[in-house]
Amino acid sequence: MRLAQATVVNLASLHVVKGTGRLLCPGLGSCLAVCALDPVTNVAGVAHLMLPKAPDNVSETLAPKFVDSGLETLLVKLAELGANRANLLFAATGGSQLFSFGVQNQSDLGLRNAEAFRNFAKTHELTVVAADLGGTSGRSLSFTIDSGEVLIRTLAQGEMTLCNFRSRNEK
Amino acid sequence: MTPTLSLEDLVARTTDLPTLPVAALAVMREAESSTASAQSVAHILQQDQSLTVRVLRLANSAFYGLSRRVLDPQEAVVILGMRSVRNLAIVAGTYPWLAKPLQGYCLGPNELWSHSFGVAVGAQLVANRTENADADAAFTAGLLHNIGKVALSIWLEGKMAGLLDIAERAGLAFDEIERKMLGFDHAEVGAHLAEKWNLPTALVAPIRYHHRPSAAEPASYLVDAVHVGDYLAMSIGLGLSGEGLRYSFDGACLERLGITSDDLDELSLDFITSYNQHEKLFEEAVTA
Repeated sequence: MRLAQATVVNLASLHVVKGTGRLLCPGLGSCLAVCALDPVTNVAGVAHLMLPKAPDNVSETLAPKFVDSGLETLLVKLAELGANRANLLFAATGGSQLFSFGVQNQSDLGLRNAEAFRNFAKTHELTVVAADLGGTSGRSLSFTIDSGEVLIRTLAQGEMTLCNFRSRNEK
Repeated sequence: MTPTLSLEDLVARTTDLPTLPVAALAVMREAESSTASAQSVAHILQQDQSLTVRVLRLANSAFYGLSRRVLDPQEAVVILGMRSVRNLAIVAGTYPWLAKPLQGYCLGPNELWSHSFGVAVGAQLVANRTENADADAAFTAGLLHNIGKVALSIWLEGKMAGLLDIAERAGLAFDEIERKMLGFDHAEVGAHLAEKWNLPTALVAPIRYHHRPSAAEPASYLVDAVHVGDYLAMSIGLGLSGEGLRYSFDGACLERLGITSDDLDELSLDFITSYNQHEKLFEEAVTA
């Protein structure tokens, strides 16, 4: 089997593509990786987000660093490539708790990032197929556009399927 | 597992312990002295050919954008500045063992390096915000904070899953599990090594207390800066080893440093910019 060409989506950036390929987000700590696919038009994207809330009047360059402005930008970029908002499916992972395992700490960055994603998804009525957020492990994400498969890998648990956008047998 | 070896026995029985080259230590000490000059630092630098080559490579890198090639170490010290040369000497001296994989901690090649360099950059940023703080010492302490893992790794090979399971069930941080199982943790092993290298006490403390900054007596901004630097590096997933984020964060160090939650978010943004700007630059200078 030939592996689809992989693009690494670095921290505080996002990548959108129409067609085929594989998008990777290695080394997620408290950061989030949010992936999206319109299975009809084959427009896909991943955002690698760092902090929950953007300051007012955030610049276009800085927008991908924040969950709220980064996801706004992701929606715009996906639409520019022809994605239909009604078809878009989303999955998210990351948001590990920093140094506060087992304790609810409202200032924890991972928790705040996860919460910011949930709020954004609710407000914008996103169809979230699967989310694996929180915990104390670092994760990596791999999203293969052709198959629609989203895999996450942790050192403790190895590789697991988060969801498959095309078959929708999400976990 | 009941502790069966003392820390000293364990270190004595561990082969392939990390070392710090004499020239790197000498450059560090000279750069810190009140009489240091570009000439005196370059003189020490020239006693180690490979270190000299690396410093010249950095001076000639695209980052400094010079229109001509620098071939004289003294000129390189002038161009790079005492701080960069000092930091580069420490990086060049530690990179060979920081870049190695550590099976015991499930760290692949370069993962301890990226984490340690991240903590160095983070601690330096924190120190830069602190009045009268020595940002270079913070960089060095950050770079060296996990040297104990290099020595302990071999003793933890094949045990990580079991230790994590115990940590999960007992609700303990990973350093607490190390202390429970071995009688000491990687921070204490690192401090022991640093003492053997004759590093100044001010640099030993952040290595020993980087997971328990409030235990340091007296309290030290270097210890606190490294603790926050560790938080910053882990937040962006740098070298999260098998134990991942299973450590405690001590909020008291933020109070001592005068850092608020909002400041911490701001620091995170500065951190990623600074890390991205310097990591590849330093790595290429010491490996090419």
